[in-house]
Amino acid sequence: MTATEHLHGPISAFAALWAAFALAVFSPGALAQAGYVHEISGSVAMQKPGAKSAPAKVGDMFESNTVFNTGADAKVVLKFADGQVLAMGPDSGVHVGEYHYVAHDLKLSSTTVELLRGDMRFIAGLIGAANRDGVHIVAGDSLLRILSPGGADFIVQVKPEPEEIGAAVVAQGQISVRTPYGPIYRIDAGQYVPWEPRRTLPPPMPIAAAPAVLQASVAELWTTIVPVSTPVAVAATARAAATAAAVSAAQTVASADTRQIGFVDAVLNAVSVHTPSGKTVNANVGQTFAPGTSFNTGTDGSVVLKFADGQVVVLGPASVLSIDQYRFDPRDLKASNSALDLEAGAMRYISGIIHAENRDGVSISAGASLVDILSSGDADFNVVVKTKGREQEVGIAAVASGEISVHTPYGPISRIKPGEAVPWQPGQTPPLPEPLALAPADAQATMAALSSAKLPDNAPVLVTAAASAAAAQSAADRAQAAASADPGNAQLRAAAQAAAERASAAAQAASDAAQAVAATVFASTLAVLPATAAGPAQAQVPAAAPALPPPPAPINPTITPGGGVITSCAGVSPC
Amino acid sequence: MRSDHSAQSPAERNASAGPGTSARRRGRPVYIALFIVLALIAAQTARLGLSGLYAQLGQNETEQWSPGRSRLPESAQIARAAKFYTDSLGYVADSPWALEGAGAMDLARMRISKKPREALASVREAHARFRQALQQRPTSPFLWANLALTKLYLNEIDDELFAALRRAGELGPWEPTVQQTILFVGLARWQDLGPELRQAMLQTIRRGAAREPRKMLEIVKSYTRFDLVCAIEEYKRIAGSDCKNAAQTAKPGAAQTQD
Repeated sequence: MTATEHLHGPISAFAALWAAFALAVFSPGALAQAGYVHEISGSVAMQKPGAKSAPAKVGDMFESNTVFNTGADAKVVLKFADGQVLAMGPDSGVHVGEYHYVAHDLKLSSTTVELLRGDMRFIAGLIGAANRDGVHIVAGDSLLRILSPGGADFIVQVKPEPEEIGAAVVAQGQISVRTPYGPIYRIDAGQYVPWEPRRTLPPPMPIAAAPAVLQASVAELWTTIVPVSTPVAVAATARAAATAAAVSAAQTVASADTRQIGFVDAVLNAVSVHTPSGKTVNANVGQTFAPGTSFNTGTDGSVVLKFADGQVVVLGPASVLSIDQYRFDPRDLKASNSALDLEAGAMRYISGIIHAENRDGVSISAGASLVDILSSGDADFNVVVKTKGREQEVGIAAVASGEISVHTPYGPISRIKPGEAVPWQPGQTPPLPEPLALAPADAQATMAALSSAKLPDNAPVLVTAAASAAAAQSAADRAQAAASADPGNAQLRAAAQAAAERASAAAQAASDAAQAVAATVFASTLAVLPATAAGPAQAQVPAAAPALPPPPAPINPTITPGGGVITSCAGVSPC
Repeated sequence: MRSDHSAQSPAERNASAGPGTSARRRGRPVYIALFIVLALIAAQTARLGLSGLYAQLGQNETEQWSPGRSRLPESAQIARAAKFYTDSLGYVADSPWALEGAGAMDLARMRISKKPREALASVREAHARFRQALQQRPTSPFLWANLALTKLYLNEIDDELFAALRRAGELGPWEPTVQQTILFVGLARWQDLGPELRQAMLQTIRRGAAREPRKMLEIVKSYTRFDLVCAIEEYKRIAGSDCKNAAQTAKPGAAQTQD
């Protein structure tokens, strides 16, 4: 046995221990998340330790030594693991210092918050309530301490340059402040104390006696809706907050977008659209449509339609499709439905979220036949019908993914799997499914044409935004084609460039809106999941804390009674 | 051929018309002038009347929403009352009553504002209106008290503030709301007051004991300045434990810095 071999055991044990320690201390998990961004309005930047400053959004998590900066008219509410809440006002900077939350031993917990400039509202969490010595609040060169057991809710404002000017306002509890100009021993609820250079510190006074500018900025934070200051599991709550924010955004847009159920994503040659109001117009890319609309592709037209739930329909030449019913509510998928009627022609159908979440809500008829989607996942199939009355229908269905059944006038086709096709025609019972390659050549050609169309994905969208993006992209393509046809024309090149930029911006807006819709769908899906032993499936966003009453106003201006005819109480005698 | 009448000289014509006709003709311009004067007076009276009516409507409105005086009005309520005062000023641009009312609405707007710039603009507007109203009515203690309040909100601690406090106290020593405003502003700037004004403040506190002592005590309490009132029997009686606690405890807050 060599010396090395002798050493190998202890060294490896030590190394293993060291590795375990390092893993525990330096792993991403060990860099415990101090809190998350609960709410934002306006532009807020977040700079994590060792990273560049980046825009913050609801649900972002942060750890110790993160800096937040708010822009003009911006606000942000941060919530910490122990329940501590920080609300920052406009043009403010806060450095979240060392934060240690040990839930089982609050004496080991501590929190440090430094207001660099501007104003912030601080609401103590468990650490502030149970271990006041563990709370370090700095505002400029001033130090604030919580005096009241159970924590405090206060606002501090500081302007550090050129010489520090500040003020502290207490909403609940008591605090003390050590300013550069002397100590303020106690500020009670409803009181404030300002500090500024070369002025003796005044005694605490009611906030209603503060200068107008301070009162207004305090009122802004005072009335900010903040979450309750109870402890949270940061990661789960952050996710829930992000979802809730997206849902809120989606609900706003969805409520304004119920009539437009889909849009024309692509069109080739002349396709006519018969609107529910009785008008017939030519289909254009980006054109939206409502329930009751029908499309006729004429002899050589084709069109790609995308619906709000993500469902995609491609119509080949000589096809007529009616949208009999369609309702998509991302908040209530069980109440959503889609009923399409292919009167004649060729259609490719790709299912959307309505089918995924509410199979019974989707109904597809092709001529006198009915198509049922059997699979619960995405379905992609083609159906072609040529019909001259119920007894003269000729059709074929082929599946690319998922499974379907077809109820033809001549009998049912119980199952068609991916890669299979089944034709039907008068006087014959539909045969068993067989590979598409064995189907008649004209049917194969028709289906190949449908499959070659460039299709959008089948994710839910906000119709207006997606339609605008499609229209903008179409315009950009045309402009690019024109520019390519005349390469020397600088004007056309510039127009193409501008159109491309517009298309890019519209695509981004559509993508953001689609994400909001997807988040709404996600939330509604979560809502119907059963509760688990670990708790409800829905992650909980902390409820809003009760609103603080407006600061008391001991004095209101009094108008001279009777318009100035002072009949009493003027002069020197009591009345 | 000229008629006899046309052959007469103007003097003859006047003579032939008789003395009554001549007097009537002489008096006509006077009547017209009198009529114009009366019409102007009527118009002016109507203007003043309408201005006063609208100001009264504004005041009625504010009295409806501020009975408790501690609840902040809503912006729609302020807008409704302010509209009356604006209408009043539309008839008489320098009506001190309407100016005072409009200034009070500016201060109310400031109190509910959450935007510093907007709040500052409101209080500046109020300050300008109170000053303008004081030019018309320099004897209103309410106006002086309101002027002092706007100076406090503007954070302008200067001679104008001290003069406003002094004048308000001199002109309305027994008006409860004037007393309360003086006390509120005075306590906020106690450290900046000279001995004379502090003395005047103490007198206001004493007089307040005879009018609305509970309201005065409420203001004193918001500043934790029981040391100023607990020697006065009326306040001591209603303050109860607050005076006892104040006596037991050292001066709270930064009381060490107070006089």
